[in-house]
Amino acid sequence: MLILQRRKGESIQIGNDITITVTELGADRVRLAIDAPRKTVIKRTELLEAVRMNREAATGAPAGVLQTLLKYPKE
Amino acid sequence: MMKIQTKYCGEITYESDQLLHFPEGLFGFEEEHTFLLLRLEDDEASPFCLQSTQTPELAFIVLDPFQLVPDYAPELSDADCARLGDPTGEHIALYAICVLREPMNESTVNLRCPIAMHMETQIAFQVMLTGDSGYTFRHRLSDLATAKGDTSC
Repeated sequence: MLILQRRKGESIQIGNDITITVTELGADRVRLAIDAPRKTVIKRTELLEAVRMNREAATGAPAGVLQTLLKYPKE
Repeated sequence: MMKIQTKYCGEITYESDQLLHFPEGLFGFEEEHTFLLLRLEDDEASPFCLQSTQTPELAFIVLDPFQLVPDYAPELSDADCARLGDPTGEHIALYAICVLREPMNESTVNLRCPIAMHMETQIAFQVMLTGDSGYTFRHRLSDLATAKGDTSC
């Protein structure tokens, strides 16, 4: 994995047509500006995980497991 | 009154004022805008089924996260509060989506992406908490709760 150090206002280029610029630095977050062709799909990585979890949840609950769930503590 | 075949609760009828509105759908299901929140059992503590009214075969098992983690304290971003219509705390309801697997102790609940609903407008969004919230996409249900055994259903 390539690790680079960048300051505010500096950028990196990926391939010929994607440029990522650091526009803001905070204590625990950075703001990035991404210049890429319109067809490039850009997503926050955690969103992919969220989609994966929802897709898996939507495949359905095994009947036996659903019965067990119904016996979980009820307050 | 409308009728729908549900994934977990058979055929049911509902009124349009029971619909929950998801302007942005759910993650990965952005086109699904209306759901019903149905209790799986006639019991106040029963898990829910979040049933799409657009797609009968689409439903999620959702839980009240506070039953699993009594001190669950997700911090919604300002942007999330704004799109929910800036509800006061008591008007926000939260639900967590489960992934149920065989065996049961492989089952998980997503506390990182709860569904936040404004109870008065019934407008809801699935929100993404920050990575430092301490909540993850897959908390094992068996780590959060212990089966009671022979609870009568």
